[in-house]
Amino acid sequence: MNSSTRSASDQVCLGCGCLCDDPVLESSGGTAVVPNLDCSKGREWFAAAARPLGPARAWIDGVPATIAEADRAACDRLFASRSTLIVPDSVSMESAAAIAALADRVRGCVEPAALRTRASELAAFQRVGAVSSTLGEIRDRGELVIVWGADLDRDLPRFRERFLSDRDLPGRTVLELPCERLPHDEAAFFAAWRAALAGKAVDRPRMLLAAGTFASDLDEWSRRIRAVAHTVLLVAERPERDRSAWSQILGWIRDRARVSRCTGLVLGGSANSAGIGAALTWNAGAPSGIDLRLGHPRHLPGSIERGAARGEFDLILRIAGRASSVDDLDYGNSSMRRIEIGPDAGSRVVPGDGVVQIECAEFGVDEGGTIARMDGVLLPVRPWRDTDRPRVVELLRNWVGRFDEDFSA
Amino acid sequence: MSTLLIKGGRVVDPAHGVDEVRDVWIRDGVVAAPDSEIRPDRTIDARGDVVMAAGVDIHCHVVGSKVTSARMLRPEELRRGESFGRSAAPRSRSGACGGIPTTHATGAQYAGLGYTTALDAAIAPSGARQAHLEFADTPILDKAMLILLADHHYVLESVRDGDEDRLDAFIAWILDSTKGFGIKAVNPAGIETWKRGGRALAHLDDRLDGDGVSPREILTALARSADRLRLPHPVHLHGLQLGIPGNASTTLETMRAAEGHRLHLAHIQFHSYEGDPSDTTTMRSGVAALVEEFNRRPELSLDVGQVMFGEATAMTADSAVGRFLHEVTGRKWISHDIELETGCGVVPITYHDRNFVHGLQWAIGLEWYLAAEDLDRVALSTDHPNGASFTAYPEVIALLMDRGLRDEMLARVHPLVRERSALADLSREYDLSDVARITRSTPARLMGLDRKGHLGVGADGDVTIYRPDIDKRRMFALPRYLIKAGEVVLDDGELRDWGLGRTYHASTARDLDREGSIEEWFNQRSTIRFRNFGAGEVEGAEAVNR
Repeated sequence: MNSSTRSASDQVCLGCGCLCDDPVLESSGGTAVVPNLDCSKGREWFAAAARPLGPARAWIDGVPATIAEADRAACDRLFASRSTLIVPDSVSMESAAAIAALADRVRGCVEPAALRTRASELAAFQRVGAVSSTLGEIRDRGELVIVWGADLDRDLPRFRERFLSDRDLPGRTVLELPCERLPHDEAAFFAAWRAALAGKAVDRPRMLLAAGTFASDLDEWSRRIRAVAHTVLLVAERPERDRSAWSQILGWIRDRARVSRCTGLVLGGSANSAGIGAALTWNAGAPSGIDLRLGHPRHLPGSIERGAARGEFDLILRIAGRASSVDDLDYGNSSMRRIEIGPDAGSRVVPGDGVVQIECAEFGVDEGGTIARMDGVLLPVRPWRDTDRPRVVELLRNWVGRFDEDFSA
Repeated sequence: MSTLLIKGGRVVDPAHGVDEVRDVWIRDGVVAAPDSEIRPDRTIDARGDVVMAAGVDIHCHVVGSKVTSARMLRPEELRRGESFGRSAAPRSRSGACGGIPTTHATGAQYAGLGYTTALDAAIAPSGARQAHLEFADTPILDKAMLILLADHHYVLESVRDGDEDRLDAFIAWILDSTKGFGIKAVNPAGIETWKRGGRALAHLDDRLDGDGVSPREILTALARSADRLRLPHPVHLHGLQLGIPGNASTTLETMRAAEGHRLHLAHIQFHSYEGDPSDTTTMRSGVAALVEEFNRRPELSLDVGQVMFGEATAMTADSAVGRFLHEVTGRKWISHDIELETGCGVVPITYHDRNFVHGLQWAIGLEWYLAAEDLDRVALSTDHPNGASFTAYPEVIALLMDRGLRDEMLARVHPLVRERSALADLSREYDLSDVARITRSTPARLMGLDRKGHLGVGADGDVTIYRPDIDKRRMFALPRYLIKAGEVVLDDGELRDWGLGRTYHASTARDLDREGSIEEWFNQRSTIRFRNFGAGEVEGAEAVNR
């Protein structure tokens, strides 16, 4: 670790999906302060990210090994695997592209961790499409902004200041419905609301029933929506929301866009889910549920989880950001061999458990690359902490190169 | 030093007026003079074959967020198209085809048609970073991208203020920053009008509320700037009122508005309709008057945007067109507004031969190819994937070479098409030199790529070898060999090399004195910091100027 103080402007904060890129960072030997960043979440993220990383460590089946030994063992297991599942999380778009290249070579499957819970949103998008905009458009033109089920102050602390300020659009109205007041059956509610806004006959008692406690605000919100020229619907990510509900929400936005200006945006975007999804899509045709086991890309939503449950995979390659992001996942049975790479890959070392672990640099801190904001805008991440640890993207590209060398004959 | 000899083929190289049997020598990646002292490392026996420079596509949509959003939107295309696995070739990749192929499939399919160069025609400035990442995963092809600038707020303000120096400085900076190749103008002022909720601008002299600028002012300012900055390619224009009956009169106005400056009219087919804007049943071809004007104006060039029957995907920065198509077809729709810059619309579309409008669009495209006198200003395109996939090029070429085939098709389309277009009266049949013009020499010259599109000494060693076939579609769909920079990429029909090509960008002289004010403007108006804008480092980048 280099202990000299350094200052860097316009650093991207990965604390939430806003990806603020204006912080001025002052870092020195395990501390990082961002004096111009008025955001509790951002300050926490930079402070945590500044923790000193130890030297690179690696393990093979729980036994300490050199990086080179573990790297070779990981390669051998990958190339010998009958069926590999790759689960990336919080990696750069460059790494995501390398993952697609690797999966192509080992005939594996890819399921990004952050997109695992967004399968129903993707399915609805593939049925309806989406009318959306970048955050700057919302800032500049969003006359009426509806925040549907999100706690902006908690989850995206600078969102209001950056994108919903009266300074940018005087007279803007922001209507917020907290998560606990969301209709229980969003699909039924949005279907009825769409009809009502379109002037069609609806069963009003049923609509109000579906609206739950929101029923008391419904008429006023509808009146405001009809009165403005540009509405924005900001929708919180909800893993439990099914395809029907997403379809109705996307349809609601589309309906409004046909009569006035209206756009929508899903609030989220942590873990570079949009960037990973895009890179996988241009490489393999889909953002998730990618199956290359037959040698060519197929998009099979849900099949990977089912396949894992049936024990179809004999190896899982987890490529993670910080420990918390992938630890929740449980793919397949415990007998599956694993390769884990990431900054916290060595957080749980169990002797003899069939795991290759390699501690790597951390994306956004000591590994650079490209990241996508929740609205699809791409930003460059420049590393600001020194480390001797291997970069994730280098490991992956080396594996691809080694595969080509080993199997080119 | 490596030398390849292509021996005894019929060399068709219209850039040098060549159509004769001769040898082609390629040394160290470039076409070289014959040298009897040198023993070639490899000789390809091309006796009986047709030898042309490799193909150049001047207008397609193969990368960027709109293309990848469309890939995501249309899993049915992934399932519909054939997929292929990796081969034994170094760096080979699997791919998914269909109307919007994955990046590796895009490179492989272009190579499979004998093409080595493609120009993506519409990338938002803030989307350049993604487009370049996609280029890095698009093998074989040399490529470039046009940057959408006509509705950029900085451009609108500079044009409003009549400040040419400010405009030049901005364009020089943004092209360098995004590693863009040139200026794309889509419905100037029309996208901003749409974003403000206004009605579409129908005429060149309509004005954008507030800023007060007109499409004509934007277009001429950009065309002059492109010339002053010596950009390799002129302003590449998607005009007003795309797809609307009656738009031919606006296109005619647009042709005249160029005022002697170079202007490339993109997918002209979609802008060549007469009729009542509110009634598609009145639609008819407007090509006759337009082609007359085009023939008279050497500063103009065009690509056609040929429609072919079958599945396609409309994707455009012209958001209003996206909404229009969604309303007409009732199909799923992506619309995305991009701050300060532009818009985006994506809608699946199926062209039916029995549908009057689709049939007429098909005929109007062919009319353009057959009626234009100077093929040194006309380039083949389907506006991939808008009118059809680029993989339909062999079919388009076959139609141009064979009047009988056209008549057969014409008999199948809606009967009104024959009445409303002049296609049935056009007897012209392309020869191989004509084909080489619209697919090679013309697009390369219009792009300012001196080493592409021809086989003169010093040209890139990019060569396609076709086996003559009475079935012209088959001939152009299945070249025997593709040589890229002297390396045999397609060897007797099999892809052997998946190397990464170059990325061309415009070389511009930046005005550093003015960039401080651009940075200040940018940091006030954009949600991205100036320092974080642009493409970043681009592998294989090569600067081009005029």
